[in-house]
Amino acid sequence: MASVPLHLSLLGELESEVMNHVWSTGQGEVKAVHSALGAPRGITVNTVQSTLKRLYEKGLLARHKVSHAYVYEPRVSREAFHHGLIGKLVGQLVNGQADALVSAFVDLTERAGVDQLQRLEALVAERLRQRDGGSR
Amino acid sequence: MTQVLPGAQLFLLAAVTYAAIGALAVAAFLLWLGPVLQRWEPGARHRAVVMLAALPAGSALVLLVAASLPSVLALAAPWLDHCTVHGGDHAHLCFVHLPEVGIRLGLLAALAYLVLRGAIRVARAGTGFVRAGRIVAALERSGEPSGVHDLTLVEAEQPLCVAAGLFRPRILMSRGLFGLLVTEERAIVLAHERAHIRRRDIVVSAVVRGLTALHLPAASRWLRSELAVAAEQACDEEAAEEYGDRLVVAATILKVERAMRTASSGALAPVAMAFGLTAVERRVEALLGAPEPARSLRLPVVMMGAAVLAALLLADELHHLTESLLSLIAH
Repeated sequence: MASVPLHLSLLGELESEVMNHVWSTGQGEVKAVHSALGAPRGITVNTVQSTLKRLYEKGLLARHKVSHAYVYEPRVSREAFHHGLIGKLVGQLVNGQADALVSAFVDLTERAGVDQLQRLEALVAERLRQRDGGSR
Repeated sequence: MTQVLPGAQLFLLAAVTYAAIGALAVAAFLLWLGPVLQRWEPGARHRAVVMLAALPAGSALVLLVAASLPSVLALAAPWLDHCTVHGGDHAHLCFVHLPEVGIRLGLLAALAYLVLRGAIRVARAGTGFVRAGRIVAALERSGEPSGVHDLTLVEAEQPLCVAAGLFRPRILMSRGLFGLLVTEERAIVLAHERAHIRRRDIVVSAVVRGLTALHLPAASRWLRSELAVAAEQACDEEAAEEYGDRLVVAATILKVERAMRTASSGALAPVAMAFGLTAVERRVEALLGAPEPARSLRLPVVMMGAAVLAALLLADELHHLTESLLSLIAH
């Protein structure tokens, strides 16, 4: 699988739906994707076709021809896609551009010192041992 | 019509002067109050930081409104007009008798620079916000439902969990972290992130970020950092109260921090090493101790209310004081 081209990775709603579908089924051609996503939403085959083409042009899908129809499959795995997005988000956090929009359980841009971390881990473990009478 | 510009310059100069006085007062106040504030319980500390962050903008607004009241009154009741006693070159803070001369060119250039710099910073922050919002939305849309209504799982090994989004915040947890934590630890992480959403920490943080643009750089950094730590600690306390065990919350924070450290030794992202105690260290230290007693901010709120009332009651004196100050600075 290729790595995600980040400048192209911010997908619209339908593009995300189509990618989710192709990621979960492994591959899909226009009619199948339209039956699964387009028909229930009243979206035409042409719209689904152009969405798949756009994702192919963005480098997120690969395609090959079977008979007269293109069959699309992921060129970028969901994990690689998310890894790229998270890297980009963390990059923005480091630059101070996203810190007001994201609240992480532990800070994504600042790491505790090794000695401090070990000291605190030992302290917490000791407190838990004392409290639980060595049962933990 | 040609006098509108000098008039606008004076009002802008008054606003900037008052904001600068507010910013200097907060910076001086923090030298003394900063270490004291750090010992307060997180909820009160969070509210105090928000109040301090809003002080320059708030005081500039109140003082400018109060100082403009006599001229507003003169608009409504011309017989109350007192401007005729001044000379033509006086710095009139007035909507009726606009000043004949503007402010010094050097000062005007400095004001223009400040306004332009502020506009660029706002534009940059706005762009960063939009980009980050689009990334979060893309992660949510392409993530997998976890079975828990407000949690989306993200296909990534990095051990992270975030509450993200300004108007419709949601929780994103990586599958790596989901697999790393046992059920009780997952519940603690979710309780912590839900506390952020309940407390509207993200909106508050965004507003404070805007307000700190008016502060001196060191004070601005301190306020933003302290706001973030206070919000994290307040959510730790809520998670500890919900789960009923401060030690397990501390252990969970350390477990995630350890996993993040391992992950970031790979190619996760550039990592800033912090000087002094990091947020995680402060959070764990606080959880190892007894919870600080709740603290009321009624006194500072009453004092601020009294200050606003005093400014309005002394509007006439404030108007003259502002005009004298502006005459001194501007001409």
